[in-house]
Amino acid sequence: MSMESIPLREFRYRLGTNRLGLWLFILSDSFIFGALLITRFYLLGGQRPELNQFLGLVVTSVLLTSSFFMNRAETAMAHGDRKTFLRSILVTIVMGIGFLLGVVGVEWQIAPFGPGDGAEGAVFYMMTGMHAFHVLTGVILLLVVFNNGRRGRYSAERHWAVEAAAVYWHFVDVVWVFFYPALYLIGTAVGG
Amino acid sequence: MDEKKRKAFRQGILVFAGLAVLTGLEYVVGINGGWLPAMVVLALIKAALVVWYYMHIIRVLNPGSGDHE
Repeated sequence: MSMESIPLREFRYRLGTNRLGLWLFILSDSFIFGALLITRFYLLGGQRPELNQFLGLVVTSVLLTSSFFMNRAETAMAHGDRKTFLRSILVTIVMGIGFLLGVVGVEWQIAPFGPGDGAEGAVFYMMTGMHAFHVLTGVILLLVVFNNGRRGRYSAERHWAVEAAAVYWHFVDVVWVFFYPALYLIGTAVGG
Repeated sequence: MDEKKRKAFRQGILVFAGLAVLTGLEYVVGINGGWLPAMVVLALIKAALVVWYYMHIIRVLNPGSGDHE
């Protein structure tokens, strides 16, 4: 039985369990990123990889802005504003792709070290790679939600998939909130 | 309904503005030596804002709140 066809009372019960399940998943995923963050400080200590500061700030701003549009999309759907929802989610997707292009397409190419060039290479590519993988899965999830939204499958009353995609997207943003200073700002830059 | 929607949109904008200011501050502190305690505090505040206002953690802590209307 799909979420659209079940009675409202049961839907609300399922909503509660779905939310708990999603947050448990997020908690378990946080351990991976937490471990990567600890690895960065354990291996590099007071040093950081030599990276393009301007690019770091740009990709961070893009991801932050995408989170704003994701929140706008979810709020719009919760109030039955389908047009704003579709427009905002599309902007979020474009910004997510922009972030991926900035990190994987540009930063990875211009970094003065490779994944095998010492601890800073291993730390940088592992942290940004794992995060970029989550951004990519988030973009795919958003594309599915956008497509379903276009077909009118969500309403102000029932839009669990939209809420779940939004929470996941914001989680990816929270991870970058810690990764950005750890990789770009804290410590003394070391060349590759 | 429209007033509620406007209020929710306004809150999203305010949170975004706060995050943008904190990110700018973080960048300035970072390029001037990146004092670790300050960076940690700024990151924690930013994360708390996103988790509270954008991820609505209250909905899972208090299952009765934030039901779809």
